Amino acid sequence: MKIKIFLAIMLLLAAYGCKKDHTLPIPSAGPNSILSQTHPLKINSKLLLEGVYNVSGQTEMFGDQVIVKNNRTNILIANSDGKYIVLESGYLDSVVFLQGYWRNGYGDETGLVSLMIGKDEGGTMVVTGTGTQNIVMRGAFGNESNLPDKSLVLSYSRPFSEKAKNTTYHILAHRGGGRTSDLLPVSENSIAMVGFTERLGSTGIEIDVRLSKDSIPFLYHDGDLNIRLTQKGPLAGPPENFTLNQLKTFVRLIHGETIPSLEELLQYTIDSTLLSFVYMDMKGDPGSVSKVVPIQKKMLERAAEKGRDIIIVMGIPNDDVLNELLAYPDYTSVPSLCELTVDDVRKADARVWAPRWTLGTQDDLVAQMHAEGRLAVTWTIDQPSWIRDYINEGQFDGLLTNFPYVVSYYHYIQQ
Amino acid sequence: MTRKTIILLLLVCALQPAAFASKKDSTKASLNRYSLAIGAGWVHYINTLEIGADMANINSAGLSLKFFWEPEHRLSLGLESGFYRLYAVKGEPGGKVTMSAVPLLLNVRMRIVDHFHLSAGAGLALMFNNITGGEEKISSTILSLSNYQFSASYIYPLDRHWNVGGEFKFINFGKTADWLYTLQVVCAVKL
Repeated sequence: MKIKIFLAIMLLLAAYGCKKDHTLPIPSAGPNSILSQTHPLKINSKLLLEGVYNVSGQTEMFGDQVIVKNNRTNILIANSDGKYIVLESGYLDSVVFLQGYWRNGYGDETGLVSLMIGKDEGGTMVVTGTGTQNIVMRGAFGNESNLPDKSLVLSYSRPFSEKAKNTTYHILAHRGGGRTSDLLPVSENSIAMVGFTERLGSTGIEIDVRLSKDSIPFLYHDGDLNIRLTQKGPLAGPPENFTLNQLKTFVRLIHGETIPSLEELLQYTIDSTLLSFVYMDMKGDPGSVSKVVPIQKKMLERAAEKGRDIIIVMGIPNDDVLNELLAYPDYTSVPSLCELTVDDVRKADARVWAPRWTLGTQDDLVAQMHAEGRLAVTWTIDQPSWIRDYINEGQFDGLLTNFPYVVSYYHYIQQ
Repeated sequence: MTRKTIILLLLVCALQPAAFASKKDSTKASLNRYSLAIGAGWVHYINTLEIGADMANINSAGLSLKFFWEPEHRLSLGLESGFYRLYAVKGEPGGKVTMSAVPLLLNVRMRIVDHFHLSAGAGLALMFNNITGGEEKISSTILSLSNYQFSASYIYPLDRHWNVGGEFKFINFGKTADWLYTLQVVCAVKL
């Protein structure tokens, strides 16, 4: 009997242990935020904030140095080991206010951040958008939604180096801009994620392309519909078993978004973001190349009409996709990214070579690709030390990662 | 004893009822008694759907089939299968979706007091997801590796061979994190 009771308890514990937890609420200062009373900073002012800053106060959290980088939606502050701060900004008189939240990208710690730049510590200069950069951001950070109580002071150290500013380095974020498993507030491979990812430092995205039963390319990573990526719904099994209509009716991604078609997502990327690189990772459904190419061409034309300088490439992850592409009429006109050998890159006339990072920096082959007018990016690097080494020692034009803020830090802190 | 050995043993035992039926009556308790039970009744899916929850039909009929080896007076070991429809969801314009399951569980059963048993079991399940309406029928079969049940039953003997009773059971399907409970009328025969 004791064994049975023990067994029942273990089963209940197992059931509870399987309970999913995919959310980490973003702390918010709420309606009492000082930003509700401020004027928005102009872009020139935000650009003046960019640079390398020394940290004082609680340096054990953010280290000795951080980079401050403006993006389309927010101001990103990133350090070397995955801690980052996302800030909104505004000014009142000659004082600049910065409020937002911090996260440990490699864990689940988060909290509020509140900073200000006094008028004599760079505030006047930032508000007017002129002058030298001699900025001190003073404030505090806290845990979760508690009021910030730990001192944080960021003092401007230097601007980004010419190398960092003038080199186009593609910071490609995985799965549409971020993984669901990293407790982001929007779902991977969703339109919402594409709109969110720039605040993490991404300049491009990788997306997972599948083909529905009615031959419409859509985005989804896993080989089956599951409660890791989707809210619990009535459909189960491989997503390509279903029509796009059925997927949109019965499936919601983990944060409630519908599964997007490839065309919807590319159109949003072009129209509503500043992302400059889309890497379409083909999941290998037979016939998908011939369905994706027309959408790719249409979206590249749309981008050209809007004056958007964006790379949209079809990934070639294996021989099946390569052979399908080679069988496509006028395949050399299809912008592609080949993950295979450099010979395969030449065979497909791919615009981008994308070797696995574990093969090393392969400087000679990367140089060959550059000499042929191609780009080279590598995938998927997540460890800060490897990211640092590949940026400092490699010749790649970018890398794919789940931690774009770490890549931002190591790219922009280069001397 | 490995699961494979137990299953093999059960299968070998299953081939022996005819031989036992021809045996003379004896007052000596046998260590090799078997029972076969079939149940039918109401199935209720515990609605944890986040999509289509308000369009779901979560009540249906279900069947169960159990074979037990009863080596002594309290504990039994057996295999259980059955057919359960978890839910049917009608959604426009997507069609109608049904989810059904056929579990195959290894059960341990214990008689607590006369005729009253508690049981728990774990094993595999095949889950069948069908969608119909508007477009062609689409079927997916999913293997769920981690499933379990626990149940309580009252089985009353009518004579030396035949028994009837009722059973209340919870089943969990791990792959989809689904739960159902079922109340069934059970008819069992001692072999």
